[in-house]
Amino acid sequence: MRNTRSMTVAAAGAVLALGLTACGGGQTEAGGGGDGGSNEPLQMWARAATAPQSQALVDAWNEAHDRPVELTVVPTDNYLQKVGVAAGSNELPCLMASDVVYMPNFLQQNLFQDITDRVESLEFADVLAPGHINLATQDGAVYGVPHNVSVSVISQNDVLLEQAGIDPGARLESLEQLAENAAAVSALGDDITGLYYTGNNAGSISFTHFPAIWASGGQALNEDGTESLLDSPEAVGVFDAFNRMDAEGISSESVRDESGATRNDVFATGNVGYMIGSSVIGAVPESDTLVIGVQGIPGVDGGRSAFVGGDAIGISASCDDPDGAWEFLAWTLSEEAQVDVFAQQGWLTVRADLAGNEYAAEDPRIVTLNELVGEGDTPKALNYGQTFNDPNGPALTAFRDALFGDDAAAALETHNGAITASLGG
Amino acid sequence: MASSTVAAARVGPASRGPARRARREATSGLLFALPAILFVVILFVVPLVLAAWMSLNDWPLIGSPAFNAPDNYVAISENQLFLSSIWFTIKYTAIVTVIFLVISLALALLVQSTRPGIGFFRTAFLLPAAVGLASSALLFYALYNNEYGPLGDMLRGLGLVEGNADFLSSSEAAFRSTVAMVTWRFAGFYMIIMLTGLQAIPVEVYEASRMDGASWWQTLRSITLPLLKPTILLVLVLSVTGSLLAFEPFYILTQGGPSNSTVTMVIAMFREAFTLFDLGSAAAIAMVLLVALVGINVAQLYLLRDKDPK
Repeated sequence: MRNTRSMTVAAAGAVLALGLTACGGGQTEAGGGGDGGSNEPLQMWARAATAPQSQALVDAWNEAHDRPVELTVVPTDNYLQKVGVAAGSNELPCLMASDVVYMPNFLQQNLFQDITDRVESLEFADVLAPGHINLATQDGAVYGVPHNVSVSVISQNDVLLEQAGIDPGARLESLEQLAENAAAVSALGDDITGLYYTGNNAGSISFTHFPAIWASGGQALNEDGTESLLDSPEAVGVFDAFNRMDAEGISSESVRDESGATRNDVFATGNVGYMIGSSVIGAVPESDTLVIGVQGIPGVDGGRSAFVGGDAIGISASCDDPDGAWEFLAWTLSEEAQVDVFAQQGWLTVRADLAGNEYAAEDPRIVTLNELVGEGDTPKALNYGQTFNDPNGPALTAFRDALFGDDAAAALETHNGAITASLGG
Repeated sequence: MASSTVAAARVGPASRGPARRARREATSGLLFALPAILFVVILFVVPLVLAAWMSLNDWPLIGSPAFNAPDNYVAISENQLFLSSIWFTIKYTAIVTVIFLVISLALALLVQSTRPGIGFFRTAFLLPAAVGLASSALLFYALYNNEYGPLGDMLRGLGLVEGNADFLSSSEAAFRSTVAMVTWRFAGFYMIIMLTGLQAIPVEVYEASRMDGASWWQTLRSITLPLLKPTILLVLVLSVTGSLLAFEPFYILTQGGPSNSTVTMVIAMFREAFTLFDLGSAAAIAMVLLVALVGINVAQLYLLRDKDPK
């Protein structure tokens, strides 16, 4: 009898403890957006994919300033969900970074505060990555600034190029020249691949092939991002050039299956002449058989461009201390942060005027990448993510048919309407 | 009469005693079960109700929801990607379930004995089950890359293919490659389940069959398989449920391609939620999947129930 009673009490205690734990958890979680008060840390969210850059900035800021910034790294694939939930309960952090292509979605939902005057007051406002500023602008008002940038480039193995009789330092003048050079590299041996890129991921293909369209003088999307222009002569010319490289065996057959997961590993083998994607400097180790060079992505007949990706950052609508938040944001754009934190670690600066900084000057490849940030573009469309990051949507089908099918022009013409429909046009 | 009154007077308190004890025990039992009930309610019932409510709303990932029933359910009938994924998922489920049953039973029979060194093989067969499903898919993705992975070279070396091996480029190859990866990952796990079933069969039954002169095949057909029925049923339910909810292998290896030929029902649902940001439609698909899964499992249990009452 006593046993039964004591066990009952123990069970009740367990339930009570459970309830208290749950309540305690709720209290701890509540008030995530509260950044009021000058001594409270400023809350900041960033996605995992670019967390090292965010962390480096936060660490450098916290070392030199009284008001700390607390960074929460959110898994990249969960970022939008987390923002959506927090926005619903008005608990967004004061500082919120975002993949730049999703900025129009956030602006449409009024998740950021207008910082037009603050941005314009910066001496270097006109040299901030133009693509990022464009995507962070709505109806003439600016809601965000660039936080970090990445550019699409052609990485090349200088060792293989020299073996094929190609001057690695010579700038690629056209896609035609890329095809010729890649064919020469490919002829070096059965194991050698002339050209490699991600051919089974629409987001990656737009990252690598849109710049060729821009360099050719065309556009992939119309100005407000509601209409696909992929059936335009410039776009067709680009996809046709890559289609011929596939048909002639200049680009690897594995390109068709590459979703991006093993792209750098393939280049790291040292058996690839050219690879289009984000820069691999620092990500792929160099050796006697692999010396990495970088090139801008050329158009069909000339020019060069780049897709400027990365993250933009703004002050959320939930933030009740925008002055404190701006103080941090303005500092992240300063020469001190851009050169001493970013450039020192080999990362790109978000300001074109710092392209030739002391650290970049030691490596001409970094100078090229920094220059491309200023020359490149970032497409702006409300439905960009759900159109070009959709593995089961019309864009991937269109791209793959155009790149690996019989007729690039016919494929793009066939699927262009579906892409426009997905863009909301 | 007097004696009966006395008896009734005696029965009264005596009968109230057990009743009170029973009530007390019931209360104790409820209290003991309460933590589990709370967990089930918080982690299962509440999310289920929320998902059901979500399926009745236009629920964007960012923005305010608005009631729109039954639009999300009507939209399912017009969602060509989801509709085509139903047949593909059923085909995949049927094929891998048969493969799982045959291979796991064969492996279990192989390692059933207690010969020296058999533990090595049991461990080796089970080891892939210790690797995460997504990690396994990523591992095979690298193995299947002709530029980087060794499988293509091995097949060429054995003279099985000429030129580049086709692992993921065509619909058929992508399906075969994914089934191969999933079999590698799960065969050992189901083998262990089969092994526990096999070891539960009394040795005396086998001895009796040997005394009767039964062949290996007759023993398997008339003794092992009938007595293994509950275990086979468990494997069947686990495999069918898991395969109908297949996501990671296809999402990582094929991303539903080429040309959407390997899109499973969960990939179609995931796309609605996290690519198209339409949580309401995704929740509606989830509810349909839930009802279908419950129905399929009830049907399986009914069809394979023990028809010989003991």
